[in-house]
Amino acid sequence: MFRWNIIVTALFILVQTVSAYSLRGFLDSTVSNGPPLTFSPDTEIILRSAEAKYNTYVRADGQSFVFLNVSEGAYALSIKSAEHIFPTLRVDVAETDVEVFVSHPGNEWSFKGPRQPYPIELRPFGPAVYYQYREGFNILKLFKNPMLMISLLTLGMVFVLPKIMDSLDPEQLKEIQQEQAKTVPSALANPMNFDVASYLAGKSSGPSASGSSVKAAGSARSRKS
Amino acid sequence: MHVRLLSLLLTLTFATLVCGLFADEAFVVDWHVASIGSIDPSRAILSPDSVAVFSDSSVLASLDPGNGTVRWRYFLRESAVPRPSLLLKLDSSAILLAAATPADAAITHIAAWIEDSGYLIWEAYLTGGAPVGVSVAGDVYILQSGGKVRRVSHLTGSEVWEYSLPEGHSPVDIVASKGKVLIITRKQDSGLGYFTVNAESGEMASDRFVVVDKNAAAVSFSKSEGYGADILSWTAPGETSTIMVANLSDTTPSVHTITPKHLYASFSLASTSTGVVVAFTGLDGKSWAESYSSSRGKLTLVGSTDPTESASAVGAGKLFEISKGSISSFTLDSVDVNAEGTTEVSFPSSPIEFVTCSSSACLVGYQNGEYVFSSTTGVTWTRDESVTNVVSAIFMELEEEGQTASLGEVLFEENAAPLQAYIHRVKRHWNALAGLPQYLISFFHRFLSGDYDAVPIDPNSTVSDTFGFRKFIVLATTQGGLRALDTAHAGALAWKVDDVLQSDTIVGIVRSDAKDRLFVVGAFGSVAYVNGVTGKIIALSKIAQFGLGDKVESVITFTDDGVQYVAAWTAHAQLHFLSGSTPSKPVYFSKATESAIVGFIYKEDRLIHTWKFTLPTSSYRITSVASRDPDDTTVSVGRVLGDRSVLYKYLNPHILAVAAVDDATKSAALFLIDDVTGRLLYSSFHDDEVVDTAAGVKVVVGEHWVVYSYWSELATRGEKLVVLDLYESDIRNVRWSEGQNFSSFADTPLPFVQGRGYLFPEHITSLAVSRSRFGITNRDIIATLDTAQVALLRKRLLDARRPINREPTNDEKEEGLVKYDALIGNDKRFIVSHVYKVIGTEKTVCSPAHLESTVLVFSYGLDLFFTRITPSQPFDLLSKSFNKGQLLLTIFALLVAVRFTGPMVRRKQLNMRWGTQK
Repeated sequence: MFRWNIIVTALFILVQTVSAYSLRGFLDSTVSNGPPLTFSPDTEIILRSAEAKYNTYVRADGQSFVFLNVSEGAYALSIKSAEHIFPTLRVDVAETDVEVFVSHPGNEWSFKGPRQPYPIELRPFGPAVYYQYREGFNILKLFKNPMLMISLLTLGMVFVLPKIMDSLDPEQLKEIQQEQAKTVPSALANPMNFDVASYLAGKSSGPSASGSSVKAAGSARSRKS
Repeated sequence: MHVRLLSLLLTLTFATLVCGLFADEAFVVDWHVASIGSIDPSRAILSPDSVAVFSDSSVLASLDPGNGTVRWRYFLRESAVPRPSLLLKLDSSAILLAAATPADAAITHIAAWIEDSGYLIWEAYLTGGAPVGVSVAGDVYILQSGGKVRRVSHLTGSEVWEYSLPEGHSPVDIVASKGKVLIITRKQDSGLGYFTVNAESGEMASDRFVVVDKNAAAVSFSKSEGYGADILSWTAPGETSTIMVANLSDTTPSVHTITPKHLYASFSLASTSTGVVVAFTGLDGKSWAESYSSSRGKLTLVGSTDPTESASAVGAGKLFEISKGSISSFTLDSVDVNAEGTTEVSFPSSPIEFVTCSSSACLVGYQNGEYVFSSTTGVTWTRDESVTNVVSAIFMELEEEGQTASLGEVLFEENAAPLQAYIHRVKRHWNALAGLPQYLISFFHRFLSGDYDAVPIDPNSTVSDTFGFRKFIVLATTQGGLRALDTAHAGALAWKVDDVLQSDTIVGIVRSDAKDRLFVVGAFGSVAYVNGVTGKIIALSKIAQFGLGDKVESVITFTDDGVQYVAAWTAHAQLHFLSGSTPSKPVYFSKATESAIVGFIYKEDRLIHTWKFTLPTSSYRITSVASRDPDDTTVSVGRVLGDRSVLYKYLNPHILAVAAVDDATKSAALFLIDDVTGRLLYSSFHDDEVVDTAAGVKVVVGEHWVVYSYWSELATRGEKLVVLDLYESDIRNVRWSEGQNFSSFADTPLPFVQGRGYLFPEHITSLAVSRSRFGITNRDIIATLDTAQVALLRKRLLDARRPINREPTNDEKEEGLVKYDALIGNDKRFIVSHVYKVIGTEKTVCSPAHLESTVLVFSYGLDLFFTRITPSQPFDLLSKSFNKGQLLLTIFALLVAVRFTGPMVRRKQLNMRWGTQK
């Protein structure tokens, strides 16, 4: 294994001198904290334009790659890797030099991103995540649930409200009760009469509703949702 | 009302667009078979610690010699062709592959790979023709068909020197040893001979073309490869009784003639430490071996084996004989051929195709696509590579176990006199009581384990599980065999049949009217009627009145009044019905050629050509044709919008989507045609986009929509996924097909088509659409990618009604629409094949489970991949995260709470009645 590392490095230097049309680059394995990344041998590097396609694999040092005999043109360089997500680069190969740009998918091909150094350097965005993870039971999460918080609050009110009511004087209490009677609509005040089926069908509940109120109820509801 | 409720329900419940596989379901609901393809003995290297293969499917693989599993493999379809190619050892730890490139056969791709890890060491592209011979002697010496000889550094792959053969020589092979390189060629008038080139300088060592035979016919060359001598062998033209050999390791090679005991059909020659050994296959198919010793310029016969029905091959210094039931080995020395031992082994019964051996083990290839790796102690492993060449795949339903009442019994109880029916029913229940203890045990077992999902099923049984996740997938192979894989047991082989149609090649398999029966149709008119659950061949016949020189092209099924008719369509435009009867009503179908679609009607036992759809220009060619799955059902005739108005779906069952590309202008086109009348319903053209026409256009037809994809370079490069939603009218609540079945003959308006294009970052190689049992569940698009993965795209994500450049209104939100974004991001949670490398899949088939939520998906091509998907979430299945303990605990807690609060409430009520509390 070690022997091949030396050989590949030697090859690298060699290739640089032999042909101007050989592209070389490497996959950046450095991680700010932790052990360096590893790239599996079947990490495929693809260079593609409308006219031509080249492909190669990561070399025995686990990082570098070399494209041989690349003709002139504007290429997209992408990496097929099962473990890491890599950016796509734009590589313009001209007679004398090679220009590398960041490429953003979904943009027009003529749009070039920031210039990148050559030899090509590719750093993965991050690991490929294929899975979803189930959330286990968590009592803290349960109490973070707004529905539970609301119901707990209401439960508290059940105990607290009568105490507040008791502390009010009878005249104030009467006023509040009168106001409540005015504001609460009949359907909500009498939830037993609420017709779920006709609500879903877009009809107003209650037999007394007229045609005009159907539309009003419908639009009001859609505004609510 | 029904429609509205349902669609509202669906919209509200299944609002997620990206939904990955749960980590605990990976490797449980899915399985994958990694294949390598057909092995050729000339491209297989057997060594004690590895088996390296470059297969006919362009897969370079290293197999573990201990168990036959793939250690690493590369799908080199784009850089190396299997023919012509050469695979050999570079040194003890690396292998070398030299092959012509698919794009240009005059260029050789040569690459070195580390054998145990699989890393690429170096590669090079060499002009000057396809590889003819490669020899490794320190560095690599390669002879190319264009007459070029090159020395390539074994460390870097860079060229050391190059030598061109003189005019008039056609290259045969090359061998390098001891500082010189022998180049064997044929010269037009001089015959077979060789050059000698200096290995260091690359210059011709002697100015002489040494002729060994003026009129040699078939030439083969056996290289020593570190064992024995380099032996050139050839036959005289028209001669099957002698072989000519020359030892090129000698300083002055002399020609010897070998006259075997019997006439031979073929031979293979290997060098030994003392001479040569030749394995012959006689004209009668029997094989034998003869060993010759070379001494003092003479070749003398020292021993031979008797002709037997077995196949023989020579490993390094040893002779192996493989018969149907045993493997024998012989040692070869200068005195005799000595039998070493015979081991009784059960090998496959299929005829042997090849045997290739190392010093200790043999790889045996069988005609049915199986490969056996066997040492003299017995079979080490077996690989079935026939599943890499699948013609067609089909799901077989299995019967459910433990159904107490058969259909007949239920019908009897429904129709008989009440008393009789009652007695029958009581009797039936009494009989069923016998199974009660078993039921109770399993009930409590399941209750305690809380595992309702994994109902253990005996792998040897042929019954379905409760949810219908277990089915058999029947594969028809190009070798003419059938394989049934068990979906519930990681694709284990349920049954297999070889050579079903008796040396006819299979064109298609179709399910017959009976649920568990299959028609297997061959190219030359053979038809087998097979039990798809057991693999038993029920009947084998030939199509009557099958035309001379005719060939079956495809198998078509028609359904008429609930009866299914299966017919074979032939190259001479004949339609042969297989089930005997023919449909009473006229049936319509169409056939695609390279540049046209032709419509036919089969009426009163006559085939009438009705219409022809020709592509706009002659440079267009059809890449794919799709129509809706005839078993796909529709539950809702309309699409409910946010304001509860309805857009009625254009539910024409005869839509034929035809995708075509123009290689000249690099453009693509899609046509929607009515299959019955040939009427053009819709067309769309993608000019000025620089379409990858070689990849073609992939298309699927769903319920009332069509999705197609193609790769193009402009305006932005990527795979373009286009969705077309078809409605009866663009006006809401307007419907012209009021309450009637769709008829292509009625004067119907053209559909209203709404379309959106999406951009997918990866290359799509094929598309498929999921189908659930009742069609209530959403539909998913299954795309196989050239990244060796399988992706799942929600149809709801590919919606043609997503609002562009604005946030969706409340009505649109209620419909489940999100803002249009052309780019479908590189979210890996789309990838349903997760970490599997699913190489070379070309086709995907779907089948519903018993559960409405679940669809079984199977992709095939080179690899096989199976999974279960739930396009609308597993709404009818208890979630894996369902915690029974938690539920019981909650109930218990509630009981305790009631126990404590009960007295409190009673006290309060009592106080109220007494008026002591307000």
